[in-house]
Amino acid sequence: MEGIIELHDNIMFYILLIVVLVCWMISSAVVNFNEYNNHFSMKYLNHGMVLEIVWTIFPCLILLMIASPSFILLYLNDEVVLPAMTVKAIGYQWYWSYELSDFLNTTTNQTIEFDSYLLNDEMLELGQMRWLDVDTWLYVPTNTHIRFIITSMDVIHDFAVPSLGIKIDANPGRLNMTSVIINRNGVFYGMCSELCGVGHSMMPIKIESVNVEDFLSNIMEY
Amino acid sequence: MNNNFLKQWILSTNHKDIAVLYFIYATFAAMVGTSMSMIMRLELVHSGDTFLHNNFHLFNTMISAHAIVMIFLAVMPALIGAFGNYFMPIAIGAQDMSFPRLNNISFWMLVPGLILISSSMIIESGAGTGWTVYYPLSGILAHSSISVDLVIFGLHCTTISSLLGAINFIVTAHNFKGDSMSMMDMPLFAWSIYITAWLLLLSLPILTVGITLLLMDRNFNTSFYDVAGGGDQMLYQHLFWFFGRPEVYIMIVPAFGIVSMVLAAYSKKNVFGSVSMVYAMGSIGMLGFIVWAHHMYTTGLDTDTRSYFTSATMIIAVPTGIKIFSWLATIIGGSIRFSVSMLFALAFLVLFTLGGVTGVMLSNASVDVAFHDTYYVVAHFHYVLSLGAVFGIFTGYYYWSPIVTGLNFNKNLARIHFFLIFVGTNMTFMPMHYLGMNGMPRRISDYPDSYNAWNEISTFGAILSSLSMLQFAVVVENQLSNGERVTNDTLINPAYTFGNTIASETLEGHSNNAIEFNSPAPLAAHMFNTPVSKFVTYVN
Amino acid sequence: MAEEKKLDWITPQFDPRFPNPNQTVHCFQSYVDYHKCINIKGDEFAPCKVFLRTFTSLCPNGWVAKWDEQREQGIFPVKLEAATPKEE
Repeated sequence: MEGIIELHDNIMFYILLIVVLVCWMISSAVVNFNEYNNHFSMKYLNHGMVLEIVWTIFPCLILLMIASPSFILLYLNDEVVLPAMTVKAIGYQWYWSYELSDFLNTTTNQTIEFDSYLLNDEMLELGQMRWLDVDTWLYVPTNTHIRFIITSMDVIHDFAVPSLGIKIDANPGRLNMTSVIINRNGVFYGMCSELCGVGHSMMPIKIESVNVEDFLSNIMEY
Repeated sequence: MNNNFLKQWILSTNHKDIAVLYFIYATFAAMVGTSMSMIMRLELVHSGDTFLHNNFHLFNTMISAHAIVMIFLAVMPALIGAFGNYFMPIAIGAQDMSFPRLNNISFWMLVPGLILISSSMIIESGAGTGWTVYYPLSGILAHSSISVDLVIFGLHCTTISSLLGAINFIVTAHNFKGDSMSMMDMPLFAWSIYITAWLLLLSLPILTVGITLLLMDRNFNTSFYDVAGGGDQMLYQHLFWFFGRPEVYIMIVPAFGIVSMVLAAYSKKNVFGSVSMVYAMGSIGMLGFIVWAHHMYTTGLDTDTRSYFTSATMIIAVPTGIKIFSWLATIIGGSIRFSVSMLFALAFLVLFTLGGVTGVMLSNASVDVAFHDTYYVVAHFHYVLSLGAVFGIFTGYYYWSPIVTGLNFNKNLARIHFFLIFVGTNMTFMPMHYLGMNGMPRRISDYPDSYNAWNEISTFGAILSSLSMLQFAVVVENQLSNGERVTNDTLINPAYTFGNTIASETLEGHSNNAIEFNSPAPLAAHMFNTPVSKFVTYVN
Repeated sequence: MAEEKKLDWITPQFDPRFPNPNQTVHCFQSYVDYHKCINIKGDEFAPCKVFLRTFTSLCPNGWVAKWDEQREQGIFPVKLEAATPKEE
C-alpha cells in the first residue's frame, strides 16, 4: 500500500502540473485576449510545427516518467515467491468464507474454516463500526508473507482491503492469487467491490493482524 | 393535415426533421436519467435508512438504468443523432444524408429501446446488474425475472439504430461531399462524426455478440459464460469492454468536434493545426480499440497483460493532450467573445482536462488496485462524460439553436443555466474523488458512517444539477415562445456568429464553419438543390 | 498444548508452472496428481503428501468435496487410475 500511495503522489505531481498549466493558459487567454481588450484576432496564427512537436514530446516525457515507477510497482506486486501462509477467501452472496487450510490438525484432519457475516445494527456493540464489523473475522500474523486465494461460489465479488493494497476479483470457477505482508498489528477493513446483488454493501472484510506468537496460540485453541 | 403530419414527423426523410426528433428524444431521456440519478443521490445522502428505505434492489436497478439511459438514450442520440444528423450534411455541402429512410428507421428504433428499458425497470424486479451486466449476476440464477432480457433487447434496438446511423454517416462523408472538397477539407465537426461512425461500426457488433450470448446463456441453456458448463465469465468481460472502451470515445469525439467549432468561432480564428486535430481524433479512435482491459485490472489478469494495457492506455493521453493544447492555441491570440456557448466550451476545456488526468492516474494497473470500483472511477468518468460530453451538448445547443429554430434565446437565462450546471456538477463529482481515495466502493447503497460528509456535499450538488436541468427547460421554453426572431443582421453582425463569416471569407487553410451561418435562419428544410459545387471560402 | 495437538504448517511455494495470478490449474493439477500418485504408489507414499498439502491449501473445500463426490460416482473428468501396461 505504501508503494501505491507513493506512486499516487508521484503521479499527482504531474497531474497538478498539467492542470495548473491548462488553467493558467485558459485564464491568461480569457484575461488578455477577450474582445474588449483585443479587437483584432491573430487570425493567421494557425500552424506552428515546432510548437506542435514540443507539445507532442512533452506529454510523452511526462508519461514515461509516470510509467517507470508504475511498472516497477506493478511487477513488485506480482512477486509471490516465498509465501509463508495461504488464506482462502470465498465470496458468497452475501458473506465471505475464510479457509486457512495450511494448518492440518493431524488428529482430526481438519482445517480452519469459518464464515464472516456483517453485524447488523441491532447486534453492534459500543465502539464497533456500522457496515464494517463482522461476527468472526480473519486473524493473520504480522510480518508474514501471506498469499490470498480468492474465489466465489456464485456471482462475482471482489476482495478489497484498501489499507493493505489488496483488490482482487472473486470470479466463480477461478482462483485468483494475491499476496500481502502486513507490517504492523492492527485491524484492517474493506468492502466487497464488485456488484453482487442486493447485499453488495453488506459484505465487509475485517482482517486483524497480531504477533506470530499470539496467532499461533489462537490457532492452537481453535 | 393529418397526412402531412404523419409524413413529416413519422415517415420523415429529412435529416433536419429527424435531428429535431432525436434532440427531443434525447432531452426526454436525459430527464429520465437525471431523475434516476437524483433517486440514487437521495439514497446516498447519508448512511442509514434514507430515501429508498433499504430497498437495495431498487437502488441497483436505478444505477443500471441511469447509466444505460444516459449513455444509449441521451448522450449518443443528442450528439450523433441530433447534431450529427443536422450539421454533418450541411458541413460538407450535401443535400441530405446518403440513405434518408435508413436515417428515419435509425431514429424510430430508439423508441422501442426506451420502452423496453423502461419496462425492464417496471416489470418484475428490475435489472440490478449495473450497466455492464456482468455474468453471473445477470445469469438466470441470480436474476430470474425477464428484466435482464428486456434490457438486452433494448440494447439490441439501440445498437441497430446506431449501426444504421453509422453506415449512413460513413457513406455520406465519402460520397456526398461538394465537388471541390476532399476528405481533409471536411470541417472538424464532420470529421468527428465520421470517426465516431467508424468507431460505432466496429465496436457495436461485439457488444451485440456479448449480450446475445448472455441471452442464450440465460434462456437457452448454453454455457458460454458458465464455468460449470466449460465456459468462462471472463469472456463476457472481454467482449463487453472491447465494445465499452470505444463506446466512451464515441460519446466524446463529437463533443470534441463541436467544441472545436465553437472555440474557433468565438475567438475569430481558425482552429490551430486542424490537420493534426483530425489525426489526433483518428488516433484516439484507433487507440481506443486496443486498451479495453484497463477496466479489468483486478480480475486476475497476468502481470504482463496489465503492463501492456497500462502503457497502451497512457499513450492515449498524447493525442488528447495535442487536442487540448491546440484548443488553447486557438483561443490564445484570438478576440474572445463570451457567448453562452463559448462559456460552455471553455468550461469543457478545463473540466475535460481534469477528467482526463484522473484517467491517466487510473490507467496505471498498480494504482488501479486502490481505485478500481471505487468512487474515484465514478468521479473520473462523470467528469469526462457529465462535464465533458454533456457540456459539449449544451455548447452545440447554444451555438446552433438560433439558426435551427430561427429564434434567439435569452442570454441571461442561459447564463444562469451555465452557472447552475457548472457549480452543480462540480459539487457533485469533485467530492467523489475524495470518497474514492478513502476507499468507498461503487454501486453500494449504504455505506459506513465515515463517508457521510462528502456524500452530503455530493447530493447537494446533484440537487443543483437537477435545478439546472429545469433551468435548461425554462431557457428552451422561453426561446421557443418569446425568442427574438433571428434576422440576417444578427447573423452577420456580432450578436452570435460574427466570427464565422470573418473566419470563412479571407483565410487560407481550412474554414470550419461557414456554411450554416451564411444561410438565412432558420435553416431551410432543403438548403441545397444540388450538392454544393464550389466552396469559395478557402484557398488551397 | 503442544503434546495433544501438533501443528503442521506448510504452504505451497511458488510453482514456475503457474506463475500468473490465476491459480485454478495449480489447484486442479495438484488434486489430479495426488490421486494419480496414490493410485500408483499407494496411500502411505510420503511424496504424494506434497500434492495433498498443495491442493488442501489452495483449493476451496467445496471444490474438493465436489470432486471427491464425482470420483465416487465415477464421473470425474480425468482418468486417475494407474495405467495398465499394454499387452504386446
